[in-house]
Amino acid sequence: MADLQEPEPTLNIDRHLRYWRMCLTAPLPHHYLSNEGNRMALAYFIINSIAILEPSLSPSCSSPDETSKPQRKPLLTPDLRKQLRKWILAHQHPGGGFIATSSLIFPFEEPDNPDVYQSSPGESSDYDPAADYPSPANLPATVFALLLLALLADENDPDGALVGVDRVKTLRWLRRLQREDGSFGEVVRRMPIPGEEMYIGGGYDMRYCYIASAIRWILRGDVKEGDDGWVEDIDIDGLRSYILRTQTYDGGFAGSSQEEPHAGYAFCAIAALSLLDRPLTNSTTPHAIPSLHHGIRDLPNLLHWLSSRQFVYLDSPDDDSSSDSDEDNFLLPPSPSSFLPPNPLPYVALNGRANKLPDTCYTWWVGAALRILGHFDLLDAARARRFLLERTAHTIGGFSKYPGGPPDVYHGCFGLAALGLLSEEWRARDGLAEVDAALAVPVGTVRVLERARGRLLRGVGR
Amino acid sequence: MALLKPELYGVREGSRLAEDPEWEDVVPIAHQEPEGALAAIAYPEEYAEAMAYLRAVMKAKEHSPRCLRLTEHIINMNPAHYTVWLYRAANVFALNLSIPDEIAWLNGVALRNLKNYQIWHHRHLLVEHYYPQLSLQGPSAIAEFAASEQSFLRDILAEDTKTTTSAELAAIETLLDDDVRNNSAWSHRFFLVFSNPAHSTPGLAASEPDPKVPQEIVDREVAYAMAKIRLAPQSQSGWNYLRGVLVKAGRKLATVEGFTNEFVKGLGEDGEGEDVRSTHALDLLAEIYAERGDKDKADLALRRLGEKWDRIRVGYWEWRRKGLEIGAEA
Repeated sequence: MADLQEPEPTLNIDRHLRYWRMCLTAPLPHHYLSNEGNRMALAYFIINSIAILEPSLSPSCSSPDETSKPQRKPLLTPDLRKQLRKWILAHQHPGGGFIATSSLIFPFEEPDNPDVYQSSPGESSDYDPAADYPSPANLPATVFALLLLALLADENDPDGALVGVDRVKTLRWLRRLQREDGSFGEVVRRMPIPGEEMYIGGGYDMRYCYIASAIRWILRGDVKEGDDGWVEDIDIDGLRSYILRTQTYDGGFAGSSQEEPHAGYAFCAIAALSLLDRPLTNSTTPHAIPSLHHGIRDLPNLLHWLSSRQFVYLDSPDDDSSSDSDEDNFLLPPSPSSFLPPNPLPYVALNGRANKLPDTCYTWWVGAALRILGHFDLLDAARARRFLLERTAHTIGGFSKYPGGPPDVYHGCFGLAALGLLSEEWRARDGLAEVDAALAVPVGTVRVLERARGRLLRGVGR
Repeated sequence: MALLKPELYGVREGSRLAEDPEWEDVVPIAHQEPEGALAAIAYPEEYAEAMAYLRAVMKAKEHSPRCLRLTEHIINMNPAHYTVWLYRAANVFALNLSIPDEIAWLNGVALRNLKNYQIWHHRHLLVEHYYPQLSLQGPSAIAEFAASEQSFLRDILAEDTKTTTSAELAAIETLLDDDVRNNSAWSHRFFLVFSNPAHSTPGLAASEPDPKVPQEIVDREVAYAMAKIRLAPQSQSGWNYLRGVLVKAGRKLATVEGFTNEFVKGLGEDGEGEDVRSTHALDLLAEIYAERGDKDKADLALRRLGEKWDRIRVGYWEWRRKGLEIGAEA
């Protein structure tokens, strides 16, 4: 059994790059069919992973140590970047936002007299000609598209990463997705129901609150009211209090305070609050986050709950850990006497809810939440890293959800993102980019976004 | 409704839409993958064909029985496609179809796709739309509908043991009797007890004391949690519940000190003298000591957690110790 005294495992970067090259160049296998409606998300998992793996090769990422890297041909060549950016922009919805899948893009015919529908700057018009477009723009697809444009920025013109994005329309569309209680839906559609034509679709889902905050941070900027390019803000106070109300009795966050807390939702709540307070520039340096540190009702209990997502992972004796049946759903917590010194503690795995099974992605969701809160040292990072590298990293590259499972692009991306949260020393050893905990892209990409927003704003009125 | 149910009049087995006379007036819009497309999926021919017809009818803004059947065809292949669900809802509303019929169809899809979000979203949308019609028919119609919804929830719960949304405390007790580590069931019990409109104040935060909760209910819940903790002392769910109940009731944590001490012996003693059967008990004891101002003992409990009993969380226990120094647990 492995132990911390044993040599630290290494990330097999070539193997991971091979896996992602396959995802980039060949069609994804048919078991991704259920994600056909969310292709922009799959695209983000693939490109973000490559950007994290190729810090020295990407203009949008800062390299930990450029000289020690072996020379590799970059997967994302300038030509490919250009081609992919074009593909992403083809998903922009004529009413703002992005369409989630290529199969629902339609040729758009502008209305005969577009001036009729032109609203004055900042005014939110109830009638939107593009609402008649056959398919809707989608909230998650929109943040993934914006992040992709920054990840795929032209090496010679990173500031132009967002050129082509209809900032004003997208921000106006974003406002229409907000419900009266402060929460967000994922689509807004005209429904053939008399009297309630516009319908905000999507469940009451913390992920949409997070994504709305991220889109607002990426695009809105500090345009003054009345100036060109000003768009009325979303209801920030409503969103903030909606999120803060969802803390549960045991300290976590859920869809409401009456539901079971979940680490993914906890991340979304924490990251959304942090993005509402995030400065527009120099945002990757430490800054105050009053919505978190003064807003969360029971911060000590939140930290208790987050740190409790870690547990000692032991290989099951019959090596049957790959089954994910209902019988295995709840983990039997062993007695504390099983883990006493001098017994080694090889692996720390994380789960999303109490007594649940380990899952690669929760190393990211919990680690990133702790990082945003300024308490990353509550994570046993070395043992968590060892779990990922020795138990869920797959022999063909990528990461699986659980030990023994097949790799997939989602867990592959968040396994790497989790490693990108670690200290500079670990990241230099692994050769990975530093990942921004709130936006889930390399910090270099966040800087691209800051400058690209500035460029969009300077372009206002031209 | 006959138009919606071609199976009553014979189904054309294995036929493609292109060969189906019902679709002969529609020119499908085939999807061309542009160069440089990302995340293309190797999907079956049948799916590609159905999506081409879907594009054609969406573009024409057609709402018709055949559109409804097309959405069913696609949902059978890809039940996670939210746009298709939304288009289906638009068809149901535009054609003014029977909502109970749609819900009956949805029940079957739901039972075949337990982990799907869209089934619940579609249901939400249907019920929201149906309720105003239903309320015109009076309270008995509403009660009848509520009963059929509960009956469906029981069916799906029987299929999916990971989900617990039953409206009855008894059902939750059964789930906890089956597996005391079922955290979802603990969470739902907290909701049932402390959000019950009969004896709770609406709108309070989860960790906000509620004076409206009767003491006998608090006593009952404390006793319940203790009995379950004794069955699995190292399961955190029961401890979180116990602490949550005390905070909700505005009671001091020290009111359960005697119980908590059952799981911790000889704290700070050398060698075999110290025995901890539940790290969560020692965690709660540290809070109890801090609550009464006994910093040294709280510090000892936290230190022993990090040194011996729960080493992977040493970062957390050290943070708690620092909190003691500055005089607050935060």
